[in-house]
Amino acid sequence: MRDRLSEVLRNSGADYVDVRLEERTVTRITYRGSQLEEASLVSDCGGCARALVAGGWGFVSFNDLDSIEKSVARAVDDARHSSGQDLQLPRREPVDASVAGLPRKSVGQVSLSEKKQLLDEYNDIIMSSPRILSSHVSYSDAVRTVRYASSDGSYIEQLVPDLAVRFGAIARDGDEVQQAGESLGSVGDFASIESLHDSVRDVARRAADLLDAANVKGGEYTVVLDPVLAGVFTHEAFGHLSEADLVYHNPKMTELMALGRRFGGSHLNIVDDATLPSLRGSYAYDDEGTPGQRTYLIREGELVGRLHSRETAARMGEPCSGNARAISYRFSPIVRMSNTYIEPGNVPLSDMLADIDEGVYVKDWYGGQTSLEMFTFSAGEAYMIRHGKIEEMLRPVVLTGNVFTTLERIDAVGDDLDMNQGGGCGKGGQSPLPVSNGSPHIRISRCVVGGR
Amino acid sequence: MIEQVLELAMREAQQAEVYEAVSDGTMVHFEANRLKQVESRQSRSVALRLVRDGRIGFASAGGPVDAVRLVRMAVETSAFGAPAQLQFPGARSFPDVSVYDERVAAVEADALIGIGTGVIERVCARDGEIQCEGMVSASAARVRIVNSAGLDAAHRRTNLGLFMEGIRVNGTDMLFVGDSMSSTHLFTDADEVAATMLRQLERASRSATIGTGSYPVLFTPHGVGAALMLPLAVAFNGKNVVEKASRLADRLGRSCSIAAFTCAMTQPSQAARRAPRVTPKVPPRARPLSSTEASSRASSTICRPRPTRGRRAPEAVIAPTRAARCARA
Repeated sequence: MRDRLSEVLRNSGADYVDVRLEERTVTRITYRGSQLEEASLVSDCGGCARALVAGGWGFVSFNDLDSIEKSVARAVDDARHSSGQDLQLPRREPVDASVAGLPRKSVGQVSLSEKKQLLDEYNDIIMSSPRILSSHVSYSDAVRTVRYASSDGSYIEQLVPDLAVRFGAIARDGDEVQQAGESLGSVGDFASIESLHDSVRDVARRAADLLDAANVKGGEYTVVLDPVLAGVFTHEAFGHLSEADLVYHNPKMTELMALGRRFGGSHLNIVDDATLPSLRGSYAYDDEGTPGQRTYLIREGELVGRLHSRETAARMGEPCSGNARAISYRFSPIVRMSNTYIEPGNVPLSDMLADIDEGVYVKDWYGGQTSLEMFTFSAGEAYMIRHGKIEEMLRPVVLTGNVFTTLERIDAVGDDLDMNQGGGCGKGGQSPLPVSNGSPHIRISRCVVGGR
Repeated sequence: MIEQVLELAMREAQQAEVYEAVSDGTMVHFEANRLKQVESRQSRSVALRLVRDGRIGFASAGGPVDAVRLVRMAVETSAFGAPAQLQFPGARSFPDVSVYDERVAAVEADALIGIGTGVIERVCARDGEIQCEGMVSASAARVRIVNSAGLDAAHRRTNLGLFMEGIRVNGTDMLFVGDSMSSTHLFTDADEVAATMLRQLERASRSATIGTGSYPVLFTPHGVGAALMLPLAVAFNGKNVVEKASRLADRLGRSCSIAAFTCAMTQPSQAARRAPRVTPKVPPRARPLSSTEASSRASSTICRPRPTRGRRAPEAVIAPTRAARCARA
C-alpha cells in the first residue's frame, strides 16, 4: 500500500497532495434509566485525498479503497475550481514514523461483556440512589489506525485509541426536576474508568440535592471557577479565538489578535500542548504530518502565539504549530486545539475565597456556547460564597460576558492545575474531537451570573 | 451484499433487518468572500439489526463490508441488548413522497459555486467590510432496507443546502449575520438568504446597550424557535415523558402554564425548511402537542437538529446530554 500511495502522490500534477487511510472500530453503550438503550459495534474503513493547486483546495473522501488513484485525480480536478490564490506551503523535511502508544489496558483488549458489566454497576448506583428518577449513562470508545502519506515524502502510521463516558442523574420531586452529570475521558485506557463508584454516587447525590437548592439572585458577582469550568472557559472563550483560521483572512481580526496585545495580568499564562503524555488531546503528528507541539498563547498576560495549520502559518508568516486535525477521513483537517490550559499560579483556594464577602463558587460545566467575543456557560454546580466561605448550594447558574473584559478581570490564579478530559470539541461540523482542557482555580472579580 | 448479510444473520437470529445507504455529494466551501475548497464525498455503509433470543443486537460497517464480521458483531451485542418488543414489518407498499430530484443529483460544482458567489456578491455590494464564509452542498443518497419478514424497500433522496454567514469586527465587538436554506429539490435563487443577511446587518447598525436585569422580552418567530422550541422538544420527548423526567409527565389534558400557547409538530413530505417553488405531493400534517390544554405528545422526531441561523460560533465543548445539545444548538 505504501508503494502504491507513493506512486499516486508522485504523479498527481498538484502543488501538494496528501492521502489519509483510516480503519476504526467503535463501541457504544448507553443507558436510560434502568434500561440499556444501546449496545452497538461499528467498524469503519475509508480514506480521503486532499490536493492543493495554485492556492485552491480539492478534497475527496471515499469508502472504496480500490479507487485511491481516481480519488486523488478528482481532488486535483476539484482544486482547480478554487485555484488562483497565492499559497506556497513551506518546504519541510519528510517524516517517516509509526506511532502506537497503547495505554496499559486498551479499550481494544476489553470485551464488550466486561465493559457492560462495569457500566451496569455505575448505572445501578445512580438508579438506586435516593430521589433519583432516571439516569443517562453513555459510553463510547474507538480505536483508529490512520495512515498518512504526502507528496513531499512523508509517511506516518498512528494508532489512536480514545474513550469517553458521561454519567447523568435526573432527580424529581413533584414538579421539580433537576439533573447532574460528569464527563470523563482517556486515551483509550479502560483502567481509567474502573474505580469511579464514589464519583458516580456523588453525581446522583448532587442531582437530589439540587431539588432543595435555592436560586441565585441574578447580577454581577465575584466568581471563583473550579479547574474544570475554568478549563472549559479557557478552551471556549479564548482558545477558539487563537485558531488562526478565524484570524488570517480578516484584517480586523488580525488587528484584534495582534501578537503583543495585552489580554490580562502578568499572572495569566495560557498554553496549548499536544505533547503532554496520556491526555486525550495529545498526538505525535497532526493530520497533515506536522509534529504536535507546545505553544504559548498568552505569556504573562501578553498574546504571544496562535494555533496554525500549514496553510494558516504560511499565510500569516508564522511558525506552524501542528494543530491541523480532522475527526475522521470524512473531513479536511482544520485548525483545532489539543490540550489547552491556564498554567498554575501561586494563590491557594482558601486565599482566593478569603476576601470575598458575597460571591459565587462555580464547579464543573453543563453546557454553553461562545460567539467569539461573547460567552455563555452553564455551571454544573454552584454555591454562594459568604464572608470567605463556600456556603449553600445553588440551582444551576449561567455565566456570561465578553471574553476580553473577563480575561482582564481574572485577579487570582490558583496553584492547583487539573486537566479535564470529558466531552469533546466541535467546530466546522466536526464533532466530537478528543481534546482536554484545564486550569487551576481562578477568580474573576466581576462576572454576570444569570439567576432569578 | 445485503442479501448475504441477511442470510448469514438468519442463521444466528430469529429476526434480522439490513439497511444499506449509499451517497454521493459535492460541497463548495467559501472563506473570506471567495471560494476556498471543492469537496466530493462518496460513502457506503451497511447496518444490521437482529433479534436473537429475545434481545436486540446492532452493528454497522462503513466501507468494504465483511458480512461474516458484521453478523458476528451484531450477535455479540445481542447478548446484552434491549429486550425485543418488536416484529419487523413484512412486505408492504409505501406512499410516494417526493424527496428526490434528478436535477440535484446531477448538479455540477460550478452551479453550486454560482449560488454561493451570488449571495456573497449581493451582501458585499451593500457592505464592503463584511467577510462571508459558508457552504453550498448537493447530495444524492440511495437507501435500501430488507428484513427477514419479507420487506424489501428502497428510496432515493436528494438534498441541496446553502449556509452563509458574515462577520464584521469593530474593535472587540463582533457581529455575526447569517442564514441557511435547504431543499430536497433544486433551487438556484438564494436571494432570500442574502436578503436576510442584509436585514440583519441593517438592524445591527443601530444597537443599544442594556444593563443586567429583568425585562419583558418580545420573541420574533425565529426567536421562539431558537430559544424556546428546543427546551420544549425535550419536555415533549416521549421517552422523557414516560420516565417522568419531563415536567409535562402526568399532565395530559391538564392546563399548562401559558394559557395562550399552542405547540404543534409538522411532518412536511419534503425535507425543506424553505423549499422555494416546490409543492409537496402530500400535505404536511400538523399534530397538536400543546394548546391551552396539553393534548398529545410527539415522538422523538421533533428533536432533530435544525440548521443554525443568525449567529454561529465554534461549538461548545460537548456535553453529551440531550438538554445540553439542545441548549447549544
